[in-house]
Amino acid sequence: MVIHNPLTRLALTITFAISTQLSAAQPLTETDVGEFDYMIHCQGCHQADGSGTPGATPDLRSYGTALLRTVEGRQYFVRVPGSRNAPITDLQLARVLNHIIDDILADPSGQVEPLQRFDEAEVAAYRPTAIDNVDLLRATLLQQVSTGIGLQLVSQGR
Amino acid sequence: MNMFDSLIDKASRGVAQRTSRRGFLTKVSAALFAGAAIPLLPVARGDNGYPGVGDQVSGIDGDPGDPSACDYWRYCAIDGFLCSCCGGSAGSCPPGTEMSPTTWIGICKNPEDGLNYAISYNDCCGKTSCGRCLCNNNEGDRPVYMPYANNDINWCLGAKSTVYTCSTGMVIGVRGGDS
Repeated sequence: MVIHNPLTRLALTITFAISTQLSAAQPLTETDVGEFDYMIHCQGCHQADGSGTPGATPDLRSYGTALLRTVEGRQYFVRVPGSRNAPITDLQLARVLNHIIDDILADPSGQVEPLQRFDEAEVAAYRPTAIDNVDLLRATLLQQVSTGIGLQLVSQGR
Repeated sequence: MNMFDSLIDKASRGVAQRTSRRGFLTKVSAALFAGAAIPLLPVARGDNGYPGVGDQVSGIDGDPGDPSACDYWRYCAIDGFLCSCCGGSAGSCPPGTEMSPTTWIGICKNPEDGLNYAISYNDCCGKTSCGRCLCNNNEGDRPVYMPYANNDINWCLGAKSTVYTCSTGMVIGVRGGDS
């Protein structure tokens, strides 16, 4: 659309400037503590929506739900270097993982059974063990998930 | 000759007797030269210390400081050229560059409200390094074996071009003063 009338242009410019200022001045609501730690320690590579970076960082959404229904998958999420080595406590890591569960992997339709959340004790139990080859382990786990063989499903109502 | 012609004739002769063509050319030349030289004078252009870069404000309430200066609060952990000095801003890339989706994220305290803000230092990529307003603040910076907390990495690795141009500093989250 081409606006020829100078007065109309001026009015639109002023309206845009005011609306920009108003939106910029909106106070931020305090970020959830788990999401904040996710921002600081994960989001740089994994992105706010967990989509990652093609070729460098995997898409959490493509395998997260399936893995987190198994004990081995939950161990994987706690033990990957980005989680295990992050300079945060077990409680903080549990909150970060719960942010992934609640906000990134949540099913908006509500039809999929919700994932079990982490607590500090579960993180503390899994965290001391390191993973030698992350890519190999993830590939193995995903293959096991697809075949349903060799994985221990998380008991419900934990 | 009518009266109008006579009037013009007298005026023209008067001008010709009082002035010279060389004098006129001299004055025009002086004006042109002075006009071109004025921008070269060492006048103050802001106190951020970078020639040719004026003071800036974000225009957002509660966001104090100059986004074109290294001591701007959002830049507490920035390492690179400020996009604010390179044709972009603290939150946007210069024309012709692409903002890298992968980035490093630090925490800076806003002196206005004392809260801790998560700042995403997305790099702009695709053009030769800007070279203006180099800042190297390392609050919270960690060694490269903690890559997600290291600002020496070329974060353009997530963009189409890995050529680094400049860095932004955008607020993505906020926590109370104890975070």
